[in-house]
Amino acid sequence: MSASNDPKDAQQAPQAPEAASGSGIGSVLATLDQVFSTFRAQLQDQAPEPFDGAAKVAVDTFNDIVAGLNFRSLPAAPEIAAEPISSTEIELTWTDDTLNAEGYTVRRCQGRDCTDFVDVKQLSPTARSFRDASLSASTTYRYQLVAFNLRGETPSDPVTVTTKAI
Amino acid sequence: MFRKLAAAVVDGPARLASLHPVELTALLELAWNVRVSVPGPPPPPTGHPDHRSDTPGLTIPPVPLPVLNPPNPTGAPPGLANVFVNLLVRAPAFGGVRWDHLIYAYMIGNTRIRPIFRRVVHELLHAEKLGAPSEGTQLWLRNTEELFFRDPPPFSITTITSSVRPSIDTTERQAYYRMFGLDLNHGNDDNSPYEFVKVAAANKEFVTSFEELLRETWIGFINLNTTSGAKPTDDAKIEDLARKLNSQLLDRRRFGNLSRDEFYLVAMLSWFHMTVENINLPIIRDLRAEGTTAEQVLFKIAQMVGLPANGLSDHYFQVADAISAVLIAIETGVLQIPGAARAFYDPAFPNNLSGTMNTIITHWSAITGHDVKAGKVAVR
Repeated sequence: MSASNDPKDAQQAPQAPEAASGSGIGSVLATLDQVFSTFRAQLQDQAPEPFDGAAKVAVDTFNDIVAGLNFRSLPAAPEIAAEPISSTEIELTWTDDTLNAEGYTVRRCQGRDCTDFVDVKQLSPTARSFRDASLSASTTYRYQLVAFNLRGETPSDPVTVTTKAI
Repeated sequence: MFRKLAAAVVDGPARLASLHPVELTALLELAWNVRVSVPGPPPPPTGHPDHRSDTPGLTIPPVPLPVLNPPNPTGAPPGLANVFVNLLVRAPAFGGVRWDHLIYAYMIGNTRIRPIFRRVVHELLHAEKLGAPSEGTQLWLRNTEELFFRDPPPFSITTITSSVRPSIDTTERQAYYRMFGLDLNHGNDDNSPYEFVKVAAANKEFVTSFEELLRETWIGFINLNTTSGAKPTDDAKIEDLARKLNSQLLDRRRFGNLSRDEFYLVAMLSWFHMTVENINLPIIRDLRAEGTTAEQVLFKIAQMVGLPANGLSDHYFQVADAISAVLIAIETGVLQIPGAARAFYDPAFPNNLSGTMNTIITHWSAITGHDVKAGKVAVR
């Protein structure tokens, strides 16, 4: 990290005599802007602290109460089908009549036996299809659809599909 | 109860409204029987959200009940209730049925929805001022009259009136007064005050404590990202207020007190709430009362029957679910454990409590006129 990016250095910069008097008010404002932009960046980059201890128990209990009031059980595993549309697109379709999911997450990995699924897209509870674009031609992918609600997640069985050749 | 049961299945409100009254009564009895009941050890005290009551319900006959389709020359039961029964019998697998807190009934009741629908039922049954009810509306009408405007069936868990307490209106207001120290904000239909005996054992401190909790939570919200200078968020005070509310509410619920009243009142108000929320129901179409919100539908119906609804009905509709879930959570006791306060105001995933508190703060301020977002002013 360079000296100018160090928040501690930047915080001290306005007090330096050459910054305050040497380059005038413009220089001071530029320095202040740098200081605050550093803080802003730090705040934006700060990952939310995970809940633990009593706070986690409270959050879990509340979510469970809301799920119970809405007659939500753990969602059923969706059954999905995948079809190559073109050399770069694959379409997933599924059915779910339980009205128990609060959304779906599409997960994908590359390769016939891959297991390193990554989240591709989060979808609303009314979604029943998803078209995955910008894929590579003649490449095999595995997909998994995860139904989720306040009670938790239920993944589908993975499906394997290969994009069309160019 | 009815509203959320209906929301959990496809086309639920219309299916529920078309059931036979005895099927609806059976659904309520079944819901009571499969209520949340954590065995322990040790089991939570009776009245706790995980152990609301030890009062037994009736075993309902095997479903489907012998209800016929109109007309049904074969005598085959329609089995329309099955989808709801299946939902309820599955409930023990995920902890059991939980119903809304009494505060839900209080909030929805404040819109004046029940007296308004009493007039609707009266008009539809006695005159044709509102037009002739269609077949679908007649099913809704029969259910509404039988479940909520007649003498309750004997021995049912929903029977909360008798010769000792003949008026459901008084029973309802007394329940609210005992639990929250509050009365409904409307009087009789002629706007005269509704007189009833206000018992001494009432939570008159509830509003003060709850508003204090909302105020402290708001301070937590606005200082969530404060990283320098003083941070006025007082976690200990939030936890103490949660403890105080827990103690007040559970005190009224000792030995399962008020549980049956709550169960019935929540079921009743949720039926009317469900009705104004679903503009595809025959009753709403027949009355030509379609609107984009429950409040608009209620206003139109209120105008037809000449009994004004509460002008703040939209706030009551919006806050009811939120405040119900939060009070149940407070009654569990988990929100008063040291370290739990953060859950009230930190929206980090997967917390839904903080968003719910935000909803309550907004609508509570509108309903009561008490701006809980404003800081307290010390009077010297």
